[in-house]
Amino acid sequence: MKAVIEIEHLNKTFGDNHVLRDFSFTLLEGENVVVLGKSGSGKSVLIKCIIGLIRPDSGKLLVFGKDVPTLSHKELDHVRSRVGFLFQSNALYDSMTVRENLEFPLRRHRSELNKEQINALVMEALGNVGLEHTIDMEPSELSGGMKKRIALARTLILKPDIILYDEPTTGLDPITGKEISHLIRELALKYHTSSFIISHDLNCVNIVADKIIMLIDGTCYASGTMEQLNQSTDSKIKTFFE
Amino acid sequence: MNNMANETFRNIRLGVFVVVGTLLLVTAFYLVGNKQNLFGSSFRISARFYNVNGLTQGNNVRFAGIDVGTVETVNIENDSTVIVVMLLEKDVQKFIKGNAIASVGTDGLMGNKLVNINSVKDLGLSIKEGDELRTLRPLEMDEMVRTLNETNINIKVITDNLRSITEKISSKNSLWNVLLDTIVADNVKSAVVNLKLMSNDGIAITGNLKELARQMRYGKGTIAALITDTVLSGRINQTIVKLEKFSDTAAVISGDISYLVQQLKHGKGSMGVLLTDTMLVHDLNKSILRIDTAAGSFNENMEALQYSWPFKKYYKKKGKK
Amino acid sequence: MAFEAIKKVLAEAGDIARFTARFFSEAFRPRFEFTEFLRQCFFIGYKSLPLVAITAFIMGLVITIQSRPTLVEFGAESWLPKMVSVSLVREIAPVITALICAGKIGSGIGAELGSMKVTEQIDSMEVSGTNPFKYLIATRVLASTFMIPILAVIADAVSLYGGFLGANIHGAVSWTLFWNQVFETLQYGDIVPSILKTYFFGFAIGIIGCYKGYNSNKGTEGVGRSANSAVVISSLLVFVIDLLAVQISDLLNLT
Repeated sequence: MKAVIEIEHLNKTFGDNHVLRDFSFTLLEGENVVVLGKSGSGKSVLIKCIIGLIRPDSGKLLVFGKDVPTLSHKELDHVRSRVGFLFQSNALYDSMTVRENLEFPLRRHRSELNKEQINALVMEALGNVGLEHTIDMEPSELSGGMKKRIALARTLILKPDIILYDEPTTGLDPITGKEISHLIRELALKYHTSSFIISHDLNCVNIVADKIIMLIDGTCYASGTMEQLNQSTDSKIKTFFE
Repeated sequence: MNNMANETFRNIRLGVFVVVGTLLLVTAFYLVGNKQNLFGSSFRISARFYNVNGLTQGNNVRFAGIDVGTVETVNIENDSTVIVVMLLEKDVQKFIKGNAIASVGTDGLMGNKLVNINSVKDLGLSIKEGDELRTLRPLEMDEMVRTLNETNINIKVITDNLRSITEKISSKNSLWNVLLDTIVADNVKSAVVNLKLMSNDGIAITGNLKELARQMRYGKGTIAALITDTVLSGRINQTIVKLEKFSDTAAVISGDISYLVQQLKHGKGSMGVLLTDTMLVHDLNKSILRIDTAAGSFNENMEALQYSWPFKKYYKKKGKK
Repeated sequence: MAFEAIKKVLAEAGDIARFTARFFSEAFRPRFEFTEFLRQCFFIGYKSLPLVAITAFIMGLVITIQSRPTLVEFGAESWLPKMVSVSLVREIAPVITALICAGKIGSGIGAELGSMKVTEQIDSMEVSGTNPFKYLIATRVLASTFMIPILAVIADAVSLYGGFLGANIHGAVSWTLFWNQVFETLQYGDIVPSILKTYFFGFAIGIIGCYKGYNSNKGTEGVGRSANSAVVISSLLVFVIDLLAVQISDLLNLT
């Protein structure tokens, strides 16, 4: 299987805070990987480095074989059109309706589409998350779970090869969290995307993860399947599974 | 799509907003420019003044009391001449004749300076681009008219006072009471004082007018042009004559008083004795003399003045207010 | 302490200057977000119109009523339209418009961009292939730069209408006479500098609102703070620009 994300010796500091140190990792095609870590352990920084929102200090960061930090604006945009990003706070545009929110990435990355095609894609994306009736609503009218689904739909609308999830179940009740986790799993299978998920929600990890990475002190502390890690005797790993 | 329609409607409203704002600005610019004669066709004329009294660039030019243009430049030509170039609307060119007279005036009591262009009765050719107008020294006129007006009011007050006094004196049965009444006596005294002041004013004015007429007659500077207008100079002469006579009405009133005083002097009863000793009699005598020289048909004179040329404008303006 | 405070102010001023420089380097390069620009024009211009119009109307009315007694004392009551029109057009209408807009638009932009920043909408835009600086900042700054002068012109007109009504409360000035006197008094030197300075007002309001919102700190408290300081700084800037504008037009003899 092909590697879609390859990270080697990535470093990032904010002032005195060494967030990522010598982090290396590879995401394979079709793989669902969850990164587990405490708050402030640099998970969000890592995921934002991958999409080019944050520039790492040093190290290699290849997405589809291209070194993200060195890309020009145009090349970066091209990479971004193939990488979805589900933000922790959903990042739905408050000033736009659900339809406009979903259209936004299409208009930006796929300007060749006509009205009907856009409409069809929007309806398909909403169908995937089962929220066709919200199409003309504003984000402020939606519940937390619905917002997350719409955000997911927006992330999926470009049919990306990789989707980066930034704590997809945080702030949701456990039941909704489970629903979202199942949805992530289903959609990943349906569109054959690789998922790179940041979480500290074990339910979510259980449902989604093919592989788990423990991000502790800015490095890849351990990796393996749920069972493997569960049986680990390392105290630092154990704290996560109690 | 509902969405697109909404967007379009929004853009329409935005468009209206922008257009209205821009139109307002353009209209304002146009109106301001219009007032400054920047748009529309115009023509230039000039005039040489001895003194422009603070006239500056941008002041209005009036023809027959209507704003027809603005002062473009004010330049000193030599020690006694200031040349004023005016920009006038093309429309009025045919009405302004070559012999019209320009003068510097004031818009109201505290207003801006302006140039007045007044026509002369004579027939003449319309003015041409670049022509020079005759001018008038404006200073003395304005001041004189103001003084005259004040005097007019004074005289009216005095005449009223005298009339009421005379009426009281004439009613025979109350004569004694009236003369003993100190208030009346004071009134008469103050009336006399007023008359003195007033007659001085009258004399000064008459002097001014005489001087003016003399200047006109001997043709000082551009004013010489006025002589050709015999009607006008006739009017001014008439005014002077009337001012000199000055006494018709007052004479009638004072006639009553002098008759009374005569009778009192010649000792008609004890009342007469009393009166001959008082200062009042002297004052009354004096006042009669003064009235002869001063008061009188001033109102009538003022009326006559209104129709004579230099003051026409002044009264017209006054009438408006 | 004082030294620290001064350092902070200077650092912020430098930051704002850098932000402004970035605006100029990015705003005029394609691609232009024209649809979004129109949308912002609508919100910043059209939506502020009622507020600006009401304020301007009241200011016109009040200034006229307040000026009357002094003029009556000098017996120059007939000068009321002249005096009022000059003070309204030259100073009051543009500055009031700018202040109202600093309050409404400055806080609006500050809060909107602040919350977009906090909820990662700005990042999301960037990921969606949009330059957020162009899409969010440039459009808003340009919209407020071009809309506030239009608002100011309308405020001039509305406040003069208020002045007309004010002049007619005690006296009687006909519609035609009022406007005749107004335009007789007003010169280009009154109108042009007063409109020109509103472009700068608009630019300052836009850039400060955007700067504060775009650099909002994490958390909802940060949003409130950016909105608040956007209003404070832009209002202050309006006065500073006004002072400069008056001095410059005075120097250039544009009185």
